Amino acid sequence: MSVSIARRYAKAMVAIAHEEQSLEATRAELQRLAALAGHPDLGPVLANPLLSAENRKRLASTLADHLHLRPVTRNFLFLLADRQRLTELAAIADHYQRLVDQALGRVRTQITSAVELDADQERDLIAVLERKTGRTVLAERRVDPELLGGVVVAIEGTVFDGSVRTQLQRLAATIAGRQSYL
Amino acid sequence: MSRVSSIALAALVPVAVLAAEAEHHAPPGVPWLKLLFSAVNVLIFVALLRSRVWPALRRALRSRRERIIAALEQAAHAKRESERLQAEWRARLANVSVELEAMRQQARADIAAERDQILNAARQVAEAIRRDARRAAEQEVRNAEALLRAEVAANALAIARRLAPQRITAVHQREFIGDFLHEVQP
Repeated sequence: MSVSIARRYAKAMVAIAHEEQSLEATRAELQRLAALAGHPDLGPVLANPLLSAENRKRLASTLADHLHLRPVTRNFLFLLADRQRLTELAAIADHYQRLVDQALGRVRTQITSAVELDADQERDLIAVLERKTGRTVLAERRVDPELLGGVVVAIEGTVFDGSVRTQLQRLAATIAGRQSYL
Repeated sequence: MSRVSSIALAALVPVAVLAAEAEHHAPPGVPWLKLLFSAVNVLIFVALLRSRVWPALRRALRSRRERIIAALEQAAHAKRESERLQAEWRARLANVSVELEAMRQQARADIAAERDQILNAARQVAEAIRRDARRAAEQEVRNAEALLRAEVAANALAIARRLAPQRITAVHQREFIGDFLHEVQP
């Protein structure tokens, strides 16, 4: 499926969820569905073209029951099963999340630090990022000791790298007299 | 032998027999028969000479004469040719010193020009070799410098990575975060 088709499905789902005022709940359910569809055992089954329409619908029903999906998400899942688009759940969920974030004025960031940030540091960091983007920042936090110190923030495809590791690499490149990506 | 000769010889035999008989039984005095026989013999001999020997002798003499004339003509021609060559070489020999001097000068000029060309080519090759050697040496120096710098940088980076976890404290981490916020903030 092309990106534009996944985007069209996601936009349709956003419109429906917006009417039902369940944008966030639907996002959460789609993310859970996408995670399940990406499971190594289930993924190949969903992608199997020999799976009959009846079995696809039965599989979708089982997934919906297992995840306790609301009717709107359940129906959307059945629609995807009927049109053989179950393999595109991850792309659709990703687009849906972006569209919802745009609609709600949010931006997702990944904050990676060498050590766990304390509450003040995290608050200050998010405040700065919100001022910079003009949107509400939803942060996913990670700790990576390999950074040695500092923090790396990835936001909408842009990476702000303030890690000691990168600074040391730049310093080494300067000493070596060339650009380095050590 | 021709028919005439055969007849003459046949006629001569009985005459010779008669002459012998007559001589045997002849009275003393002039031997007319013997003289006659001798005269006939001489006549036959002369006839044979005239008919057989003389033409062959004339042909041989004529042929020899022609060969001698041809040889004389060839000799005259060769003599004229040798005289012409002699005159030509005499003329050349008369100018040989001038020609030799001209040839020497030309040879000297050619040698000088060739020497200059060879020297110029050698100079150019030597200059190219020097230039290449200088470039190669400079490149080697640059490579060695780069290698050394890279090695120093790699060692410095490895040392820094090893020491950083021990030396970086919570205070440093706060400073890093503060610096980052300062850089990122709009």
